[in-house]
Amino acid sequence: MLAWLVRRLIWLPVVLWTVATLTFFALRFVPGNPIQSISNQLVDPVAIARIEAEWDLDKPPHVQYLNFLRAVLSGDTGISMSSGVPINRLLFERVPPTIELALVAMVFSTVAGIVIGVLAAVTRRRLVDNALRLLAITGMSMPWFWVAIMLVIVFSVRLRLAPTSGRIDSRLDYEVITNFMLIDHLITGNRKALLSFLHHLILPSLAIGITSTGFVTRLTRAAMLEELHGAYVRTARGKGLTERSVAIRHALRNAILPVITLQGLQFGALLGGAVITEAVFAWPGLGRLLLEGILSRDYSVVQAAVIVVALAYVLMNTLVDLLYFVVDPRLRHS
Amino acid sequence: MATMQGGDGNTNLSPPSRTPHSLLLRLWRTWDIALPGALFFAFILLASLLATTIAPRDPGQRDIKNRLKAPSREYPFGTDEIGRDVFSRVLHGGRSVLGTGFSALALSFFFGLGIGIPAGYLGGRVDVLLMRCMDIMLSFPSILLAILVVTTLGTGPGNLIIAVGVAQVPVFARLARAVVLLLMSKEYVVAARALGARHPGIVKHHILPNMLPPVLVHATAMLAVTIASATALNFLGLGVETGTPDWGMMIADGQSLLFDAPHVPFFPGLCLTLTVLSVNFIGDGLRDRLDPYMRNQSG
Repeated sequence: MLAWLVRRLIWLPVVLWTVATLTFFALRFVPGNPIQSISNQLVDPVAIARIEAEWDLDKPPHVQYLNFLRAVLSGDTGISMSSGVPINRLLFERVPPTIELALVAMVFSTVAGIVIGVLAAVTRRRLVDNALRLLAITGMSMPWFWVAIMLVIVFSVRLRLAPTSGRIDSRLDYEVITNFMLIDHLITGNRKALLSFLHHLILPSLAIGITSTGFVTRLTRAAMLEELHGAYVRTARGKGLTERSVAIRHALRNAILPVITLQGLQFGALLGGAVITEAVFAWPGLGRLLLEGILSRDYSVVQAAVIVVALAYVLMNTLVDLLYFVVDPRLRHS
Repeated sequence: MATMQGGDGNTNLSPPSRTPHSLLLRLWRTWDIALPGALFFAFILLASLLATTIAPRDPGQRDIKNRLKAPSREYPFGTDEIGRDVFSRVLHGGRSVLGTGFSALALSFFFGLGIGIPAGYLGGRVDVLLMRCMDIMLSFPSILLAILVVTTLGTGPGNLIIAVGVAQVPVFARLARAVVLLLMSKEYVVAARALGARHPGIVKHHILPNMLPPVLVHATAMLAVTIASATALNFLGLGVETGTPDWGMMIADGQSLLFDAPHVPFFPGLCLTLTVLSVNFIGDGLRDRLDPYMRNQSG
């Protein structure tokens, strides 16, 4: 296991380096550059040349690339080319909201998906099983952005139960410490801000959660059905355990492995891939930062965001594999 | 393959009958939810193909006097901000969505097999090199990969297909490799190699025909993914040009009309959901039926 872990940890920087390099050159292939996208205000050739020099854009690509690598290695993320805000600051502003959103959506879909999936697997009534199966497929077939918009129509426009966009009521005063609002508002005891934040969080996390509940339900059901045929389940039944205990304490423990994988991968994917939900709800997250960066050709922002996303994704995958060792004794002892 | 004969109903134990009712029942028993899925998908496909004939109005025709009309007999899905008929636009949009979905799927299918088969068959360094490349592509969420490709190539329908297709190549490559590895241990492949058959011949006569059923089943399910991501890119404005009838773009345009005319984003989204749903039905039903490989593997 140690050898495996070492190999994974060596592989990690290789992936990051490749991803960073590919992004670096892909961006420079794109027609248009950061100067052009801000040059509406800038027509003075001297000014443009000065900015180009400042960003290294006047140098040949390989020099730019070496400077970029040097900067990354020394941890100097630089500043945004379009807004001049330090990248570290942008990441501090944008990463926590995305993690919060992804985490809440994951918790929701894991709990709901496992409960529904187990029910579908153990029920003796075909009708119930089929109905739950249809519900799961329908859930996973609904595109995030459409679910998001429908939730807004029903809960915000019609019922007026939840706000349409944003992360917190902008009129509220609050203190930013970690920028994880749940933590910040609990530390400062700011009840009003906490409630407002949770209120804003409900719809976006539901929008993601509903779709991913479908996937979890389907996977749980399939895995449970397979496990329930296992010899150890027959033994457990033979010992006279209740059906409930057999299903939950024996079969589910093994059936949960693929669910862990799925959710780990989904969590990783959400850190950068919640672009769409973030766009609909104007949620100030990493995905939107990346999209805005791409659209304004903000090289430095895109590079930083892509590296963060890839890092999170690869780390998440490694973590999922590690978790396997914890959950599955067969792997631990092999 | 033995499992593929189920469709004609010979394997069924129920007494043969010619009434359409029991024929349907038999089909249902054999194909499960793949049947309604396929029927509905065929309906959507047909409606999109015949869009120019069925659509009551030109999808681009503006009619400011009749803007933001709620659904009625005259306008089944209502009208949008500049009075265009949403029903006609949804019909025409289906072409763009399905066309992009199928093309992207074909692209990822061929490139995925082109990478996965040599990796699995040749093994060794080729395998490591190819699969490491795929791993790197998989270190991004696929929607992000598609966005990056689209921004590199520029927007437009052709590039949209490439972006969506490229993002799914690693999925097919891994799948193809796994199936090839499985087939390599089969007696007939081992025998062919022992007899000194040449590699291209083995791949053509033994590997390809046997790997197609499971891979095609997965391809069906992947159509749902390519359709969904193509629409997502259009929703973000990274795909087809503004004004083109496309479900993703229509939903994006309708976002500002949530208070006045929620029907504008509702109908294209409903059609999108139903399309993806029918594809998932087909995929789900087919997999239960045709895919002994994957079922054994997932355990």
